[in-house]
Amino acid sequence: MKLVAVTACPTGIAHTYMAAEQLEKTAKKHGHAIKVETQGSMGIENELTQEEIDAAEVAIFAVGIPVRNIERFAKIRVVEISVQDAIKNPESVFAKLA
Amino acid sequence: MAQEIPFVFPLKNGMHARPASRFQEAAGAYRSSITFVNTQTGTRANGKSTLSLVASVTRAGDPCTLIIEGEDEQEASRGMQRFLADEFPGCDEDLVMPEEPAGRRPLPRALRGGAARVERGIGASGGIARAPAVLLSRVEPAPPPAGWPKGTDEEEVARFRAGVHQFEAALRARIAGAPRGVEQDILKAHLSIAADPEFAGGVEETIRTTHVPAGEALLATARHFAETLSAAGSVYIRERVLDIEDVSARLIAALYGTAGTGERVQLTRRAVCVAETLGPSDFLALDRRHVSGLVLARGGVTSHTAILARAFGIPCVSGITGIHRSVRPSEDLIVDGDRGLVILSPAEGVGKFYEREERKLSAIRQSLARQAGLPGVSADGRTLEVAANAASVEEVSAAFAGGAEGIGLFRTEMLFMGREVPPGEEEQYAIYAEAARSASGRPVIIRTLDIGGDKPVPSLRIPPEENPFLGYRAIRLYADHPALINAQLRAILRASAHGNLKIMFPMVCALHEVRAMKERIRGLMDDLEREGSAFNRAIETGIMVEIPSVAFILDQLCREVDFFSIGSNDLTQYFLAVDRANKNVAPLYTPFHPSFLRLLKQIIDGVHRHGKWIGLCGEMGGNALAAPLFLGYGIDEISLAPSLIGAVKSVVRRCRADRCEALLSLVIAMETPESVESALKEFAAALRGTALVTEETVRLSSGSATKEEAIREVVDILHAAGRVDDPDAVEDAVWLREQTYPTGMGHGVAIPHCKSPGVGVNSIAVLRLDSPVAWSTGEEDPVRFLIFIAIAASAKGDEHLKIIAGLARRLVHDDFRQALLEAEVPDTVIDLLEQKEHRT
Repeated sequence: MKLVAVTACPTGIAHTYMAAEQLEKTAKKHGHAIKVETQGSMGIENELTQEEIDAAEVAIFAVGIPVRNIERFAKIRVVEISVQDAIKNPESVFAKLA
Repeated sequence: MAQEIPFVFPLKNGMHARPASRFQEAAGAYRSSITFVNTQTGTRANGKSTLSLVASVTRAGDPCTLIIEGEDEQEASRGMQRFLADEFPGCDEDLVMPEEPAGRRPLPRALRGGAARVERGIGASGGIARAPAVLLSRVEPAPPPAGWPKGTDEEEVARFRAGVHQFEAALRARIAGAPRGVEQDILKAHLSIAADPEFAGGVEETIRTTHVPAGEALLATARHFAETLSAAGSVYIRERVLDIEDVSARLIAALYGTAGTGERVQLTRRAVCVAETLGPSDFLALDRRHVSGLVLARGGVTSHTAILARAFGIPCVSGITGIHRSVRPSEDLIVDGDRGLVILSPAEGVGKFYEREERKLSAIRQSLARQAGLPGVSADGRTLEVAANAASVEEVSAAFAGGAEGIGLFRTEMLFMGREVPPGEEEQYAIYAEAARSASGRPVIIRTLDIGGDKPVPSLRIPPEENPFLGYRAIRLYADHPALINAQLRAILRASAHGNLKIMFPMVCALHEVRAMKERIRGLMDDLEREGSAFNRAIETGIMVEIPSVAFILDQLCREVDFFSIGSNDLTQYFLAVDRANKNVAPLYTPFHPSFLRLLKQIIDGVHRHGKWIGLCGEMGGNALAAPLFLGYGIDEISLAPSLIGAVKSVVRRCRADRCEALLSLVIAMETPESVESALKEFAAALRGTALVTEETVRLSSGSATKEEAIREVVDILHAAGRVDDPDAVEDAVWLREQTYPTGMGHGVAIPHCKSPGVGVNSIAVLRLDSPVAWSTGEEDPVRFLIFIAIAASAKGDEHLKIIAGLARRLVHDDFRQALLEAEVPDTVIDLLEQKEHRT
């Protein structure tokens, strides 16, 4: 499966990046391709282009704050979870995608 | 013909008891009547009455006039002018005003949520104390239980006079026995209230006109003055009511042989004393060995009782309404004078918090004292002598005890202030010799008298000046006053036989001034030799660099003098033509103008080119931000306030001279003082460590038994390491973050974090707990490993945040976490955290 994701937490210092790493790690394990955009203390990194989003099947939002530039995701199925869930229970997140 | 002296009231705190008592002393020396008129408010006061002067409710800047009338009015007028110019401006001390009430600041977590009964007041004297409460009541001015005995009016007047006499004698004895300083000053102020002619006159008049007993008349008169003062706009003056009540109570006791209504408390063990209010005499009557802390329901930070508590280093919290009624005798109390808190019957957790707090604060104090005691030398071995400024022998000893490597500026003006007759040669000799001896071989630079101009001295008959800063002051008036300067130079020369003294002249602008002084010194040396007095013929002489002209004749001056000292305050003012007391131009006053920094470079390089040495003794020397610049300049010495030595030395010792030179070249090329200052701040932050985590911030064993304790501990680790400036604010920010969702990440690891202005340097602290603690409700996975990330509020998307983002990513990998959890020494933890990316 082709996935895109956005992670963002209130202070943007730690959980944004932990969630991103966890999503990448777990996707790899399940054989999915994933690109994760982080919206944290360093600003927006690894930014998703409209093409990348349009080419994906599902977008995962692992966020505790509103996603910036959310209009990019108007046409795609979005699964929204908490940042903690992404970090602690990544498997259950991927179970939801099927 | 009456004499009038107009002047502007100079004292910051207005006319309160201490300056008033000095004023009354000075006025009392003359037979003429001396009337003090506040032309702003129109109030008039008897200049020989402290109370009447205080009741004039005069504030700083009020225009005033003295009217002097009587047979010795000429002499009195000269004397009072001298007093107003020389002595009076020094009669007040700067109040150390403790910070705003604790109300606005977050409480430490350990004190919240019903864990303790916490009362907030005003921290009137810093420090932490814990002891059982002893309730005190002050001695109230009140009639004896049997009522006032009543005699004839004349008998009552006689009773009053005898009581005053007895009280004065007792006070004088205590003044003689008290150490110099605050305690003595306050007792003297009380003596002047007791001996006040308006007060005594008021009491006697009341007895004669209303035929009441002496005690009643005394209370009525005291009430009258207390009411006048209570109406004053200044808090400081209102707090003087306590002094009047205090003195009245003691006077009543002296009149009737009673002890007043307050019970005498004999402290036998350490106690926190709690009272509604406490007069200075009540406080002084306590056995201070047993007073751990002081809690007052009424009163602020400027009452004499609060001032005494600060002088004795006793933690004190005041202004907690009703506290004397809510505390039980012997109740366990903690006084937190830094935060302005009193904790009643603290629970175990609160006690533990304060034990840890005290351990931490004492570690911080010790580390600063250790820094102060180390030599002033950069990390790569460039020496920068860190000396202290002083104005008395006591300050010299205190400065050396506090880590000074010399006295870079001994101001002598103070010896001439606070007295009507200038000190003679012998008296000065004794002072300078004592300073030389207490320095045990280290240098003491004595600056000759820097008076005149803005510090007018009527006895020198200097006419009023249009522009005193550009006027007749310091070295410019020595030639016209040979007796004055000769006495001082002879005293310094004779004292030079006892240690390493140097002579420094202020306000030099031209070569001939220096030559004249050298000539004078040679003559005095010859005299001393003929007299057979010992002195050091090789004594070094130097000049202050305050006037920019000096910078352009350094070659000539270096042939005449041995050293230079930059007076950065005056040099900045003269160089930029900015009077820093003028608030319209004050923003221009900063030594960080690139032009000024270039001037300093030209001066320092010029002096060194001619083989002489140079120091700096202005406020810039005590600015820790500027310390790297001094290493960059290669200046030989800086001299600063003794309390700043530890902080400045710790900066100097972390600097590398080559980096400081690069910093200097960088800022000298900048265009604005603001950009210079921010470059210096950046340099200072980098000095505190580019490393996010150090051995100091990793603790692999901890007895913290709750989440609260563990979080406080990681915050305190960074506070003790000098990386967090405001631990309470940072703790609060961490808990605010925990509220959004707890930062436990499973596997026994939590990463509490925050971004807060209380963080000085971006940091990571690591804490491994001896036994795991619950992190969030309903979470079965307790935490035993904390990685605390503290980010300064000003941090932008910089290198540190990138490292932390990388660390966060690595933490989700089991092998990385496992390695951290199992680390045996801090070094392993540091290595793991500093890895650039995940290694599998």
